[in-house]
Amino acid sequence: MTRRGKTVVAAVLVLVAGVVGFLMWGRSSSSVFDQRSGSANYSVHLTIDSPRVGDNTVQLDVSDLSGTPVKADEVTVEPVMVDMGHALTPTTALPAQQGNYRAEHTDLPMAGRWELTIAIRRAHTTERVTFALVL
Amino acid sequence: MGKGIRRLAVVGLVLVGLVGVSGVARADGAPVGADVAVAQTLGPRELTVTIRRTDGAPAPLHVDIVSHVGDPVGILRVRTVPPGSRPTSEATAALTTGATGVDLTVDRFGAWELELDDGTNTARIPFTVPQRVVPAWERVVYGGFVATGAFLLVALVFAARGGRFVLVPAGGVVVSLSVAVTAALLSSTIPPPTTQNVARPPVSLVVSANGLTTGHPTNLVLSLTDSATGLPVDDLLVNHGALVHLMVMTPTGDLVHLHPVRVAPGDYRVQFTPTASGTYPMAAELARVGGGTQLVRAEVQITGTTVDSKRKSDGTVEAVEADALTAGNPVTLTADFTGPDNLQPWLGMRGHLIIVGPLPSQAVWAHVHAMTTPTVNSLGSQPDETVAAYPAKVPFTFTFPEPGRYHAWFQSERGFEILTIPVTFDVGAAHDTTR
Repeated sequence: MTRRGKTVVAAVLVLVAGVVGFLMWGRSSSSVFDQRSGSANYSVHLTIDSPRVGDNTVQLDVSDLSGTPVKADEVTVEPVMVDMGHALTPTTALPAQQGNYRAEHTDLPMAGRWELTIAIRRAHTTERVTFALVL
Repeated sequence: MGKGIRRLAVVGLVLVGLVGVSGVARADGAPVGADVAVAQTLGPRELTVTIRRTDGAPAPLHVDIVSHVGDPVGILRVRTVPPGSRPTSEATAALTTGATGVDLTVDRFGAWELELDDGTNTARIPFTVPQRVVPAWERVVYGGFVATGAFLLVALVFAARGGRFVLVPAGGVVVSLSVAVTAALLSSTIPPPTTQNVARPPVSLVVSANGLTTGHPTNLVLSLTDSATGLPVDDLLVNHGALVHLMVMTPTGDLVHLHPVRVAPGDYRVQFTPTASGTYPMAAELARVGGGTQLVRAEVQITGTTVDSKRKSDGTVEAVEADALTAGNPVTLTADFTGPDNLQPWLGMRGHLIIVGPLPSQAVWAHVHAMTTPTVNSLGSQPDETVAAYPAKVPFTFTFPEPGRYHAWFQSERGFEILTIPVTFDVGAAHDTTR
């Protein structure tokens, strides 16, 4: 085989390996955890940029069922380590913009399955929305 | 034709073969999920709600609602609600005894709630519209075989023309085939991803009611919380055809078998009409994600005058050997619901036996099943409630753990009527020592 022939064979092999690799791993999710859920009266959009063991910042967009941002009296994040049945001290999410809340320093101290319950308090009524997250 | 053009043709064919891969894999998606049948005691009605399997989303969703003898005739509004959104579809069912079907739609994958509204009471049944996820190994196997085919075609063309470049697609055939076969052989060792394999803690149950007096229907409010965190429990699985089976024993020894409806996470309600004053012991049977079935006990106190309500018995019960009723010995109790062999499965079983005893301690609350056998009509799958084909005699085998007096209720269904045979057993002390 000529040198050019070898080069072409090598290129095809690399291409096949690359495409197979892309098919296997190329569809893994990006590093932003992004989920929507809701309760009877609220719709909640939760995002965590690069969820990791340790300190996380939970971003919350809270709206009513028609999509209007909600100004709540208090929004807290209540993390539970599901595998251990262990609840952590809730962190308070501070209002950033209209309907947008940020819970900084939400500590998730180990890998595994977590449930983040978002408690929305408004006019002496609390509604809870739960999100499942695997670290 | 120049060599450069030929090379380009090879690369082009390779790419076409590989790009086609993902489309093939996705189009091969088989239906996923299963029908979900949930018993719901909504207001005065005992309903069985069957949410049929959907194929994809957006898709139509068919829901069958079975109403039983004694349920009032009326209109039920049924809605599909995604969490945090308004209902996406609504249908009305005119309930009469038997099955009524409604057609709704779902427009996305994931978690949903089916809302049942009879004008006074509302139930929200969680269900999932599952999305078929093609595992990585499957994509590789399909991709490998498709690429092999493409390389083979190219190799044929090159072989016919002669020349050394046939080695290029031939090499591709070997590589693609190796990848596909290796992935296929290894696939059996790759477990499907699951997030439901760790058992959850037990639940705590608080049952409360306002103004419970005899003769008046009242809502029992069941609050279910996680015993490890105290948070509401919202991961109940459909267990033997219901989210929660609530068995209530009246002071006069009757059984009320109810299926509380979910109103909100951890908040279940059920309408109940007490008939005598006294203590009503009850047990809730439920299952959480990843865990087995749990039985949680509670009781409520009722005051008021006794309302005549002693229920008739719908048959007789005989023990195979009368003297076999001793503690520690399995005994087969056959309930004879009399009449033709046309019993229907209720809650997925052709018979239920609830045992409470020994009196007065009630240390044992048992729920024994007589399972259905697949019928010819149902083509090997478990039949639903509309199959009326089971013998009137239903055998149950149970080992009474302690001697004493037990209340027992045998239940089945015929003509959409729930039948109950109440019996009291006296179980003797064990003859032999069991080790």
